[in-house]
Amino acid sequence: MSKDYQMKAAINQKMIEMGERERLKELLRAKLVESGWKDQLKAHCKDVIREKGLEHVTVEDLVTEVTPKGRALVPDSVKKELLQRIRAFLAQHAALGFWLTPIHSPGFSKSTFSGLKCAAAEERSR
Amino acid sequence: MSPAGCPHVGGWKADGWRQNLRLIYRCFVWTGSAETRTRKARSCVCHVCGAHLSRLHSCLSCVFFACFAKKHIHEHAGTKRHHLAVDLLYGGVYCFLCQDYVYDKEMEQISKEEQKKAWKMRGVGEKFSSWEPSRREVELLRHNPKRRRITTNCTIGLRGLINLGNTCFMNCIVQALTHTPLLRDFFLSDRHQCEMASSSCLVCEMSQLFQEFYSGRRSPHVPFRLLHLVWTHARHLAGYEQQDAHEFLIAALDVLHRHCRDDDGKRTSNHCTCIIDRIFTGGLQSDVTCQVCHGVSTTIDPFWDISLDLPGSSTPFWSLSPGGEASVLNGEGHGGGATTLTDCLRRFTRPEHLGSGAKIKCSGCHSYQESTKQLTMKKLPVVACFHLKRFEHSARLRRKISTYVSFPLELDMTPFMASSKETRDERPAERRRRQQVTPRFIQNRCIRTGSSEPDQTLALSSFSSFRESEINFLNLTFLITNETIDSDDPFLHGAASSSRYSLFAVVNHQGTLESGHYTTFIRQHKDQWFKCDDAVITKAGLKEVLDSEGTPERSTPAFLCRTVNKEFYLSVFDPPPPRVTSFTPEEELRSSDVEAELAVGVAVRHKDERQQEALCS
Repeated sequence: MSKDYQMKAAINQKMIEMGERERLKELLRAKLVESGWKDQLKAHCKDVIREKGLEHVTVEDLVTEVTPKGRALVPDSVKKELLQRIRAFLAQHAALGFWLTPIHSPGFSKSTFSGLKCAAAEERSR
Repeated sequence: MSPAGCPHVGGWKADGWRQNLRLIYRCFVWTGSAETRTRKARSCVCHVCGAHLSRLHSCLSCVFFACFAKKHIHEHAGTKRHHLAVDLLYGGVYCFLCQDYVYDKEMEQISKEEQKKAWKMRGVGEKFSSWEPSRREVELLRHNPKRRRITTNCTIGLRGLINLGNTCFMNCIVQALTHTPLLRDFFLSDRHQCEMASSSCLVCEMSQLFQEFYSGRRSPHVPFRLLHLVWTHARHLAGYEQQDAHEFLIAALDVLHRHCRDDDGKRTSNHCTCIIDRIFTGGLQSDVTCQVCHGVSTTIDPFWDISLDLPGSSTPFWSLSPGGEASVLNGEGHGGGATTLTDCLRRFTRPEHLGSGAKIKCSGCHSYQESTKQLTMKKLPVVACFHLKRFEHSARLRRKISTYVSFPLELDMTPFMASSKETRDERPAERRRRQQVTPRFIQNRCIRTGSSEPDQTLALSSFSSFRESEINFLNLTFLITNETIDSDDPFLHGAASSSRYSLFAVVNHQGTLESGHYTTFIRQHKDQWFKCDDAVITKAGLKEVLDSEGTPERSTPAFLCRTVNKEFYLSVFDPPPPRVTSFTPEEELRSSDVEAELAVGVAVRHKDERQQEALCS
């Protein structure tokens, strides 16, 4: 359980709790449609299905085939924007009390917590 | 992979399975309330390895969450012989025996319902779902096998209008309205449910009109019924004399608004949710500042159009030199360079000294004081109509002002909004004070833990850093959570896309005050322009459109449509922002060359976003 991993877990959980994760998902969805990413991937999926045959293809096949291309095709601007939003979320919730609510994840320790605090404070001062 | 699911699903469906499934969906997949969200955040981790982001699945037969990517859920399925699991991100049901996702109709139904509920609870309107034909619709489609397809060059939606005797003023506005993207989508989706007993509902007639325009017929349409209804409902426009197109627009919108009132079901006293209001209504903020105590009294009035004075009118038109200091120009055109629409807007939103003859009673000073008044945009409409006041009717003279005004194809209204004004005019101390008053937005989003005080100050100070750094991110969120754009929201500062407009129709007037003729330029398919002159439609180049607004004889209302994101569209209907490309030379439309085709039912319902972009102009 690395510290980074724990921090990731804590941030993720707080984001779910506050509904921020849903909002980010919707933002991402809209951006990806707008930029044409969805259409590109849809075309690729169709190719994969044609290749494997409609009767035999499984969702796993598609996921394995399409994921690397999907990740590569995301435009940088979209990545930047989402990153900005996550950073803003951190900066917004730099308060002590916010992160103190218990998070049930194995190995969540005080050191992780202080790491989080530092990251949040850093974001705020940026 | 058929909708009947796999045979193993049947085996799983024991008594009360629906309840259990619903519970799982509501609590762990589509979380709507704060309580379920918290529970999801805390408990949705892999019971084997503690991971939380690797395609978690929940077993459908017991309480067990595990990751998919690392096959932990597969182990569970094998050992416990629980063959079904649901994906916590997307709600798909996986069968370990079939080794694939399966789609059982009833389970899908439950999933969709819970998802809708969760969306509603979040208060963000309805989730976009693709159109699926009902049984009746499938029948209709089968009985009517002829299909029409929209190509980039097709001219569907363009139809001439016969002039019934000086009715060009009506024709030009009708052309503009039938090409207003949101309005068109509203009517083509049959959204109007008429509650008027008689046949004099103007909205029904508009609906008919849209059907005529998009029927694919090329012959000019004769709008006699529309004309008759307009005469009936707006007596002041009746008769065969020349009328003012702008007046017609306002009268038409008013009648449509009145007849539309019943469409949405919900109707509060001061906030109408009819389509006309949702598209055209904006809010104009008027601030009157007392010159003595600097107290500001604010009122917000709704508006459907923005009427702009022009240089060359007898009202003083201030030149807009960069310093902001004004020198009065009377009767002459603008000094150096042409006047632009933004010049007119800047003039419209400049602080105006009301003079000693018009003292206002100040509630701060409790006496009559001189004051300044300033107009700014509080709420931006989705479709903005700009009206250049070219016809001057003052006591002394009646004339048409023919000053050239140049129009941009894209317009950013951010500098004219009330929120921009605040940052522009205020002194730093006042700005800080104002900031402390407005964190309404943050209050809505932050969950207050025990001690709220430290949180609040921290939230506020980080809030001020946002203002400077122009972060766009909350644009989307805000538009989802509120149907109306409130310019009080500081984050809208950086959200430039929501105040950007694109031109889609221009109405021009040629001639004099006594006799003249109206024509319209309409944008189709994002970058093709057509000139509509009563019954004659010709292809026009972009240059011609932009120049026309300027030539001395022309112009009056111009219609701009706001660029918004998909979610906002769904609450009002609006296609994604267009990208303007090159223009083509003029050519006259031939009658039978292009066979316009329209996929039946496709244009009529909301469809996949991308296709919508291709369909709409």
